[in-house]
Amino acid sequence: MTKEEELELVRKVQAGDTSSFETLVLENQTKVYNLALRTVGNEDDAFDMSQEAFIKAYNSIGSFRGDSRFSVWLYRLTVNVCLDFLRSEGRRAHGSLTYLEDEDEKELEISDERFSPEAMVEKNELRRAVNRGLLQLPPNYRAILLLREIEGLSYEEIGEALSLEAGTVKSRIFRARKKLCSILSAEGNIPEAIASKHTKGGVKHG
Amino acid sequence: MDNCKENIEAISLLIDGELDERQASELRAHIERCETCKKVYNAFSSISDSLGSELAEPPEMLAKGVMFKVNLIENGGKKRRFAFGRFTAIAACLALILIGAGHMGLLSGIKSDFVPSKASLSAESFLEDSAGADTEESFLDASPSLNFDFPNFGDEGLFEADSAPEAQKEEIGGIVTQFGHGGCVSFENNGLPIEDTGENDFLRFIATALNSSSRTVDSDLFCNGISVTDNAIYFVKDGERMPVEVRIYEGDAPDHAALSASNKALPEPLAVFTDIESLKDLAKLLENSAIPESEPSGKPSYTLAAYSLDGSPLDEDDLSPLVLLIHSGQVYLRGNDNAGLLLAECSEKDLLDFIDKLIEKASKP
Repeated sequence: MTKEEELELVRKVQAGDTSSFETLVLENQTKVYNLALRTVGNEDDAFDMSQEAFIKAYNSIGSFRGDSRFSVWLYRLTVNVCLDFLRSEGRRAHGSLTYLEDEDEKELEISDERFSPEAMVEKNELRRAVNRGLLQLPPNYRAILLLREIEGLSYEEIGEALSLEAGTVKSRIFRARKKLCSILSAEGNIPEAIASKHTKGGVKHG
Repeated sequence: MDNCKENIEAISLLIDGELDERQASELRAHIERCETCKKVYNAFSSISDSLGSELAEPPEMLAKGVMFKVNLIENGGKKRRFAFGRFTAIAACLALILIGAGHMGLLSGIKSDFVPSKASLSAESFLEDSAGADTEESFLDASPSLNFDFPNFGDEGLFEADSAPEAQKEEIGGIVTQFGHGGCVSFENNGLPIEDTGENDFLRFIATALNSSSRTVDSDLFCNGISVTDNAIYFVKDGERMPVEVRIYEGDAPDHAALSASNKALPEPLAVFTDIESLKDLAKLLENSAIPESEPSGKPSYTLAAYSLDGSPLDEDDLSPLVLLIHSGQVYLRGNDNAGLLLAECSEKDLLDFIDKLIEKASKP
C-alpha cells in the first residue's frame, strides 16, 4: 500500500467510514502483531497489546495529520503500548516462546544449495536463540531493533516513530545489536560474536 | 586497527542500507580483508536474518476483535430514540433470568401444588432427572402423582445446555448478536461480523442492561453480557457462553448467599422466560422511560434477575437485579445504586399483563 492509498483510507475513517479502518487493520496486523510479540515475548500479551494499539489508533485517528506514514505512526503506538506494558509493575517480558517452537516444522523454501538440512536445523536453532536473546535486551533496545528488522523502517522513519534524532537512532541500533551479540555469545550460540574478548578467535588486534 | 571501531559501527549502517554506494562498496572491500569486521558483519547479518524471517500469523480474532470494539465505540456515541443513553446505567443492572423451557413447564404445571422448598432445583437434580436416572430427588417424592413429562423438556434447552455448554456453542446457528456497552455486533455463524443495521435497536436497551460488567470495554474481547441468537439467549462471560434464564420475583430478589449458607431452597419466581420474544416484549415495555419528578421509595414490587440454567445466579460482580416499583399505578425502574430511578411509560396494567402472559405461556407445554 502506498502512502497515498494509506492516507486515503485514513481520511475515510476520519469521515466516519469504519470499514476503511478494517482495511488498515488487515494491512498492518502482521507487522503490529510481530512487533508486539517479539517485544513482550508471549502470544497472549502480544494479542492484547496489538488490539490496544489498534484501538488507540482508532480513537486518536482524528488527530493524525499525515506528516508521516500511518503505519509508522501505528508502530509507534504499538511500541509505546508494549513498553508501557513492560514498565508497569516492573514487568519483564516473560516469553512463553511457544511461538518459536511452532516454527520448527516450517520448511524453509530456499533452493539455495548452501542450505543443506544441517544448515537449516542450525538456522532454526539460531533463530530461536536470537529471539530468546531479544527478550533479554532492555525494552528500548528491543523495540528499536524490531522496528528496523521487522517493520523494516528506515532510520528516518524510526526517528519519527520514536521521536529520536538521526544520530541517536544510528547509535542505539548499533548498541542494540552489540548487546544482543554479547547475550548470544554468553549463551554460547554465536561463536563468532564480537562482544566478548574471550570468544574463540575473537581477539582484536591493534 | 584503530579505525575498525568506526568500521564496525558502519557495518550496522551497511546492513540497514543507510550508506551511500561509495561508502558501502569501500566498507565491503574492507570487510573482505578484515577478520574482525567479517565476524561482526556475519554476526549482525545473522541477527538480521533471524529477526526478519518467518513472521508469525496474527490470530484471526485480532482483526475481528478490533473491529468489534470499533463498532462498540461508534454505536455508543449515537443517541437512540428511546433514551438508550439513560438506560445504559440502569440497564447495567437489569438481570434477566432466562429459564429453560423445561423449567417453565415444570413450574407452571405444578405451581399451585409445589412445595416451595422442593422447588430449588439444583443443576444436578435436573440433570439427573433428565438423564432418566433412577435417583429419586426429594421434589419428585413431594408430588408423586405429577406427570413431569420430561420429554417436553428434553428436546432442547435446559439439560443439553447444562450438561454440555460447549456442545451448545456448536448448535448455535444463524446469526449471533453480541451485546456490549453501548452497542451490539452481529456475527454470522462462521464468525464474520455483520454490519449493524440497527434492527436490533430495541434489544440494545436490554442488552446493555444485561451487560452490567464493571470491566471496561477495552479489556474484553467479548464484553460480558448478553448474546442472542435467533432463538436463544446467552450470557457471555470471559469468552464463555452459557444459556440463561430470566426470573421475575415478587419483592426482592432472593439472597442467594444467605440461602445457600443456611441450605435453604430458592423461592419460586413469579414468572420466567428464555425466549427472545419475551425479551423483546420486555424491552418494548420499558424502553420509553424518563426521569421522574419524585422518587417513591419502598420495597420493590418485582425484581428481575438473571440466572444460569443450573440455578445459580450469575456472578454477583456482573449483574445486579433490576427493581420495578409500582407506586400509584405507575412503574418505576431502579438499577444499582448509581443508576437512579426511571419512570416507565408503560402502565402498571401493561406490566402485569406482560407477567401474566409469561405465566400463561409457561403453562402451555
